[in-house]
Amino acid sequence: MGNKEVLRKNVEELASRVNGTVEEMLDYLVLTVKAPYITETLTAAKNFKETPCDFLHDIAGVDKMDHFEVVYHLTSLRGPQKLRVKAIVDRENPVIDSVTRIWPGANFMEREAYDMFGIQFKGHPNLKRIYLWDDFEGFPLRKDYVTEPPEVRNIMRVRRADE
Amino acid sequence: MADILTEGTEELLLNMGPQHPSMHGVFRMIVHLQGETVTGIEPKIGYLHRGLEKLAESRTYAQFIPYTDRLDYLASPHNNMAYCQAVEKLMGIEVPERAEYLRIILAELARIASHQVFIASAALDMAGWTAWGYPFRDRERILDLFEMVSGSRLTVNCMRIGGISHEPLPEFWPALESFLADMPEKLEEYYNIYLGNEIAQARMKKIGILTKEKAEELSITGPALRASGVQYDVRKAEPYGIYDRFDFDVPVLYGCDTFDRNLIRFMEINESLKIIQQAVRDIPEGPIMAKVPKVIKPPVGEVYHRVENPKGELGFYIVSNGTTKPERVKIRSGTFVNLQCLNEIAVGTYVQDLIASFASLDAVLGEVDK
Amino acid sequence: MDVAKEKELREAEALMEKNVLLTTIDKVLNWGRGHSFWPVTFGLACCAIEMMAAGGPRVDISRFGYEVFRASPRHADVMIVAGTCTRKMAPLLRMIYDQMPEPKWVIAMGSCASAGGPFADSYSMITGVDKIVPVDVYIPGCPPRPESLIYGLLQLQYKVNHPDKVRLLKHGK
Repeated sequence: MGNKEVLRKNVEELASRVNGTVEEMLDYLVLTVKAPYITETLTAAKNFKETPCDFLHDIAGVDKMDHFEVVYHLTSLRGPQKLRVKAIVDRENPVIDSVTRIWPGANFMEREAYDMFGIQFKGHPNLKRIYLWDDFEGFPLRKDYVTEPPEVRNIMRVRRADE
Repeated sequence: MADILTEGTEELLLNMGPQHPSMHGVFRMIVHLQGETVTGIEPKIGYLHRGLEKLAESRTYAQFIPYTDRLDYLASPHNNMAYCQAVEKLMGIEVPERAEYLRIILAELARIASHQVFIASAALDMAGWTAWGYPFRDRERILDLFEMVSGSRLTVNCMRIGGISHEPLPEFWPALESFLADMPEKLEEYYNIYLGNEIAQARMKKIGILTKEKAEELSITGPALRASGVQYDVRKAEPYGIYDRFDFDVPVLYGCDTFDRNLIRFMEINESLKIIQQAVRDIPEGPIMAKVPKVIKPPVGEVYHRVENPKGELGFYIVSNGTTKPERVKIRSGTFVNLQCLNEIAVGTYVQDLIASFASLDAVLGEVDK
Repeated sequence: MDVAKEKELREAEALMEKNVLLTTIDKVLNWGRGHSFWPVTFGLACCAIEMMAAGGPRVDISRFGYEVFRASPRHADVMIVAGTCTRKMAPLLRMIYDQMPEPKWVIAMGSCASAGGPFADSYSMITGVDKIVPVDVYIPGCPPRPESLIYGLLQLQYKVNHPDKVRLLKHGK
């Protein structure tokens, strides 16, 4: 069988184990799961037989109005397989497991998702803001964030002692 | 001997602050030192964070193209191409042949320009003032070529959704031919004053080792990955545009040190010259812009498109909800992810090796901070 | 032909033939300051690359005397803010400005430093660097060509050499 069919079979088998749904969007296979299953899903995806998806490209946060989604893009350095895994996270209390134990390269990417959306990653070694300064209030990329008017933004902020 | 050196020393926190003489921009590192040996690094970024992803939600698809220029400002046609190709994939637009060839010529010229600035600033970080001036002199010729296509030297805004904005002026083609003819001997010159120098070699060989397994775990892409022994290039793995029609190699080196990360960019400039020569030979006549609706409204869906930026892999993840403004644009920049390997390559060495290794990662803060 | 000015020029010419120059101390000091600015390296973003190209071989800033870019603000007298200044960077910009000794000038290069640029309505931007430090010359452009930067520096040289003209404009007289 070709690589695509093997991958599809593997993904559908995994989806039935973790209560996820599989669809295909513009030549990417998309697997949607709920947040508590994410570690199991990603470890299994990294160790697929014949089509392991072992290179993490990107972790993106998306704000759909009633929930957050954390989107992981996986491919492999040794084959043409591509997979997108989406985890549905609750909006009131956004907590999800961190994947830094599987891929240490997820460190900065998860800090960025925390900085922009406020999603807490359990088990991350250093979950602090990365782009904005530490005393910034609010999470900018949420849809209900209102940018402050220029008069407020132009006031020079007070520098903390350790900056 | 080591006991004498570390006995009686306390840990020193050195702040290499956002304003410093190196040419990489506003990057800040807090370096934990024991004497002169580095024991830990905390990179602190965000001093150039302009909020591009939030701005994208209040601009239309075509209005966002100038913002993509300012991401990796040393190779701006490349960023334009990545974004335009992502939107074209989402809408199913097919770009005419002449525009595809022109896009590839501009993208490879941008790659050469970016590597020239890399050579200049890496040499400058090690106080090689002569090696700073030579690449800048030749880069001016590439900027002239950009001006003939788009009118602007640095942040060209020449790609549109569906093709290229302007046809290059008639002076473009003879100038390009003479540039291609002159470049190989200039490359020899750069090698002789920078990498062929004994002092530079002694400062860079066996320093800043990044092994293959660590590089794959930390999601490193671009020349840093290829200098660690993994032959992976997005142009060959998942060809975009018409890259599958060109005949070029992907150089790979196995030294994993700073010297190899510098040398591999020289080899990449050679490959880019080959690609441009083939494109100039094969370019057809024809229109430069496809038939695109006046108001760009992609269907509901999402797309992730990636290209091989000179610094790594640049990816655009666009989520569209059927209106004229995107719902979410996520920019995956190569240097942001590559910065995670600083702890790997510099801990245990001296401060001067840290500077040389960091220069070999080729960080551009516009891309890191978005 | 202004008769008084003509007389002044002829007298000065006669003196110069004997190798004598009459002037005021202020004029000499201003001439010296204006012809050798030492900029402090404050390149933030894309405009910094055009600033480096201005120091490069084709467009040479050195023929005007301005090529000595000092890293330490204590040695410098002009600060060319080239690039986008965000809210996170603003207190550090002020700190560097305060460390420069008098007399000092500021050039805002590019549209991001002059007025916020294309990012003016972002949550992390200040609309122009003149809300933090007093600016003497604004250079518009995105990014301005290196020739524009040289024109801006020459305007600053004119301002330094003719403080009376600038003072008239500033106080509205």
